[in-house]
Amino acid sequence: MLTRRSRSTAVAVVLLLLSAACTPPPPNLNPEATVAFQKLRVVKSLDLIRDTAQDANAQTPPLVSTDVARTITEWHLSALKIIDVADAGWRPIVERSLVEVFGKLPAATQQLLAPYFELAKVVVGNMPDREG
Amino acid sequence: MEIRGEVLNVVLKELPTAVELFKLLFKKSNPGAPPPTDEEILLASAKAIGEYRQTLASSTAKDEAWLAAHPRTPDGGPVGPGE
Repeated sequence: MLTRRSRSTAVAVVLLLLSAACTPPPPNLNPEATVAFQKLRVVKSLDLIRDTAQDANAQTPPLVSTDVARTITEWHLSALKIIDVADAGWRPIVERSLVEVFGKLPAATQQLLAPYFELAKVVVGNMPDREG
Repeated sequence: MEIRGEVLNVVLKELPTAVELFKLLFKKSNPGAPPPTDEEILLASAKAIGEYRQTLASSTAKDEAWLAAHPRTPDGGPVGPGE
């Protein structure tokens, strides 16, 4: 499992990305680009969860089972489709899905991925209530 | 050890984004900065939209590739490393 130093490093990374995620979009973007900018931040935060799970599965021995990594990857793929296709209302759907998929994970995986799920929840939570 | 290396890779990957955002914050706090021109808005917007589309496409492709490489077996059991 993760050493204390690795866990501290993960927390430091999350804090760094969190500080970047909380800044408002640049003032030189039109409304469509502002939405794209915000969605990009969400996608990147979800990517962290997926990447960590898949990388953990690729370790020898794997820190995350293939079954669990598949669950996370399938959830991630669905979330991306929702974010891209839904004109409005994607935020509560993704927020709910984060809680639901996290609840399905084994305790050890939850411990491993908790900082990344927390980051994603904050990033999604900072999105405006309506599109734009 | 490998996970720490991966975390460091994430830091290195995201640092340019964080640096750009800090630069923007600094610009915003500079009262002398003129408002963006229409052309600047057009260019910046096109870049932002393009970056989002590209990231979305590559992330989706990565998911699909991983799932294709780790299919469920006919009896429902997992296939892949460590199983």
